[in-house]
Amino acid sequence: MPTTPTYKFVTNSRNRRILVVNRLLSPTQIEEIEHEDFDAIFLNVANRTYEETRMISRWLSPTREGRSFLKPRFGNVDMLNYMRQMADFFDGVCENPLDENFANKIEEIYQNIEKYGISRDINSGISTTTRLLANLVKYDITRGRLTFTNHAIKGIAQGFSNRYLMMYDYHETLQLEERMKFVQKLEELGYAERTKIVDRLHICKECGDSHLLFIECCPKCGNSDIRQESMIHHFRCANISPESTYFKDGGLVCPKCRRTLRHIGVDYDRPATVYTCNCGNSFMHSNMKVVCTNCLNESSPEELTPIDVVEYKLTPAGIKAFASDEAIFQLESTDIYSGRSTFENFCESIRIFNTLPNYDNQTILVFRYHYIYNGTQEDSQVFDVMRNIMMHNATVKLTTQDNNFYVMLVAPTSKIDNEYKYAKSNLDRIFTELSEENDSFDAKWLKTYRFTRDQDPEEFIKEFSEVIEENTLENLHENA
Amino acid sequence: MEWLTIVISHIVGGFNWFVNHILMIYYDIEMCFSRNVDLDTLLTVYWFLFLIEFPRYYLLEIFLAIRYAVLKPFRRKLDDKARMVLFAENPLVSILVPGKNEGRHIFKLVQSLKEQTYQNYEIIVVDDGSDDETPYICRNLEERGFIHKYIRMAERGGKAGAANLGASFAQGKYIVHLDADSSLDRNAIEEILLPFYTNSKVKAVGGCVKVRNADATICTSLQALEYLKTIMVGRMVTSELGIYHIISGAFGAFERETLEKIGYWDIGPGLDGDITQKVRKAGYKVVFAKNAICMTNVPENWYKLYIQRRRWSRSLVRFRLRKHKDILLPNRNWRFINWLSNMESIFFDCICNYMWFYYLIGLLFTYTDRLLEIMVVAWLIRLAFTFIAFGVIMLVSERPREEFHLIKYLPLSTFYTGYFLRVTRLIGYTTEFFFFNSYRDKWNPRKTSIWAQAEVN
Repeated sequence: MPTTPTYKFVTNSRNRRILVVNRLLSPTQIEEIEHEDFDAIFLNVANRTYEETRMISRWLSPTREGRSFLKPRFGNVDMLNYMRQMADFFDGVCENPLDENFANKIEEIYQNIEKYGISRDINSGISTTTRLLANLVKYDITRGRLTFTNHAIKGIAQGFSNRYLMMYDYHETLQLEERMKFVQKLEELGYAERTKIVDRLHICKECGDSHLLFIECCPKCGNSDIRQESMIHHFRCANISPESTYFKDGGLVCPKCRRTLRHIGVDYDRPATVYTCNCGNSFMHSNMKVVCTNCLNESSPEELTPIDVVEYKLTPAGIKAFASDEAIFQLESTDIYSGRSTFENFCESIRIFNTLPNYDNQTILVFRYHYIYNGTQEDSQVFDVMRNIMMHNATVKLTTQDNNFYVMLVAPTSKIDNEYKYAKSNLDRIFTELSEENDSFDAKWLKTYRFTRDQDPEEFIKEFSEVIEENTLENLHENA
Repeated sequence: MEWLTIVISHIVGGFNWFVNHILMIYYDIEMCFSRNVDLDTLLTVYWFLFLIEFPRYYLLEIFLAIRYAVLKPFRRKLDDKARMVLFAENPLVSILVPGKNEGRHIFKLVQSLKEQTYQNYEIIVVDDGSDDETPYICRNLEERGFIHKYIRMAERGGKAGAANLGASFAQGKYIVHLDADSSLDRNAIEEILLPFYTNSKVKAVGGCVKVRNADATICTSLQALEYLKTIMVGRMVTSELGIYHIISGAFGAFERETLEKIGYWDIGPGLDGDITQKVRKAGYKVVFAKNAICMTNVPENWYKLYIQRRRWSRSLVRFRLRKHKDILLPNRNWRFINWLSNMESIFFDCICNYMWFYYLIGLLFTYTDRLLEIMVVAWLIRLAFTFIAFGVIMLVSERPREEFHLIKYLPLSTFYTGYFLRVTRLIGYTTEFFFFNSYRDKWNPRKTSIWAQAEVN
């Protein structure tokens, strides 16, 4: 039985070289493939698991992987079943890599790249949230989509998402605030403009989650053990009481005058419905209370935070800026972005902090945790830790360097002590929990650094990146 | 210039004629007095005034008002005791406000309730199928906690239905029934509850209704005067005699248990008189709380007033002579005091009204030539009476200074009470006797009144 090759290159009618992948590539095979080798990708993977499909598409991601960056990507019908949220990162489905539609689409994308002069450098990929988002915008431009909108999407904490951010939202690797800030910044810099408000939705005022339970309850005791009953008005004697007081021998008999009610509209009608609660209270309008499924916070509908889901359109200036990667530079140098970042970007944020006008009277807190890990797949473990921290804290900037976790928090100077206490206990809890769950992982708090406007950023960076002596570290992790 | 002199002479001539004419009238009056100065003739001509109106509406009132004034210290002691018990027990009071399209009045009412000296109450507003902005206003007030319960009937069911619906929500020991377009004195709730604690047989108390828009038109000023006389003084009198028979729908308090026993309200119009009858029939005492003051708006023009009074008159026939005729007839429910109470109202309000009509016709034929002078003299006599009555009002009222300005309407009030109201009542009674009009009144929705109509047969 002849085995099909794992991958091969074919050339289509327009003289474009297409990489056809039939199976999960081994790391050595991946090494073999060069950026210049192909112009487009066709994934011909059949009958594979979701995990396998995910691995393949991740290696050949048009937004995150240098070799396949911005390149057209197609898949076969079989794959479609496994792609789920990743389906959005495919340009189409076909059965044959030499398909004419496929060829046309490839041309179209390359025309776009040329038309807008988009740089095809991956620019350190997904090292920061801003870059990740910027790459997604770039990807969108090549696909000719200049507006980006949000939809209500099932299963996402924020309730809505841009279709390309969906998979990140599912894994909660992006913070809502971060994304909002990104779009806001685009607007400020004139890169994008609002076209319309898609929806206005309400999220939990405590944690920002959109998964809310609306519970009908008694306005007096707050219990939801309430029954609805209609009132019957007997015209003849003007008696009005709940329906149940009329029940007698299967008919309706007025409790006041003992006459039988026969005909609605003639003998009686039902002018109102009334709730009765277990506590004996009866009322006309039940209260609505809202319980957040994430943090279990209880509130009234009025207290929820309304947020606008907005549709944006890139301006010509925006397109130009993104095409030349000028946008990334502008975005990063005009604000501090929270989320995961490289150590360089982390330091850069501290350097620009003094120059940013909207951070007056604010203080930076940097928590330093040291961790040891003696297992495989250190990267994914670290990623897990970061995801956990981001899920539990609204706006923190995270990075790792030489077995150190750095968590940055910006807060008003006046409230800094409270913020410190709150964040410290929160982080301690997360790290302790993770250490307890995983035998081969242990993280301990080393020190917290404070940075205010009058300090020199270079000295501060030096201060928190100083190397700690071996002995101290050993003592630190002794218990583990 | 000649024509000018002619015109002037005509004007002067006309003026002369007018003055002479008035002088003639005075001359006639003088003649009349000079000829009929003896008591006998006066009584023959004005028998109605002297033999019916005076003893019932003036003599009795003077006597009881003086008694009231004399007994004031004693009563105050009793009231203080009752007040102590009331505030010690501090029962929940349900304030029931049924109405249709009354949203804009509610806030004023709620404000006056907020000022009350007695604070343990719940406000239940029942919306009888309003088709204006009432639901929005009331729901808003409910959300802000100004009213405790807002109950809406999607379809209009009549005032009795609305009141009954509200009563079924009431949790309090007492139910205070209020009209939406009224407001209360600071101590009104407290005062209306006191009688429950002075006499345990009292199960229903009527409040004293006064006119809020007294200065709006002459019509309302005259009504203000009338309310003072017939409600404040008149009901005080009937209450003293134990024959008080109507608790105003605008302001009345009931014990909830008693209401439950008698099956709450029946269909109106005139359901306030009806429920009072029912409480009396059940063997309980009904009294009037003179110091529980409720201000309400009254009709501002004569036609609306006519309609309102015709409706009230009809309900007398309907309830006292038809529905509750058993009070008048000897049977096992017969009690002298109830009989007297109803007979008083039937005799003085209804029979006397026909007698007055008979008297008027008699005058017309007997003294055809001297009708005008008789009328003028009658007016003078009545005026004298009303001054006496006003004195009684001033004696009884809790705010005589504020009400003193109404004295300027006294000359007019004799026409209002002496003729306008009598004619209106006459029309009301007669049409009800023969045509059963109250059962078709627009005041009730058709679906309910059709049953009341069927019941007559």
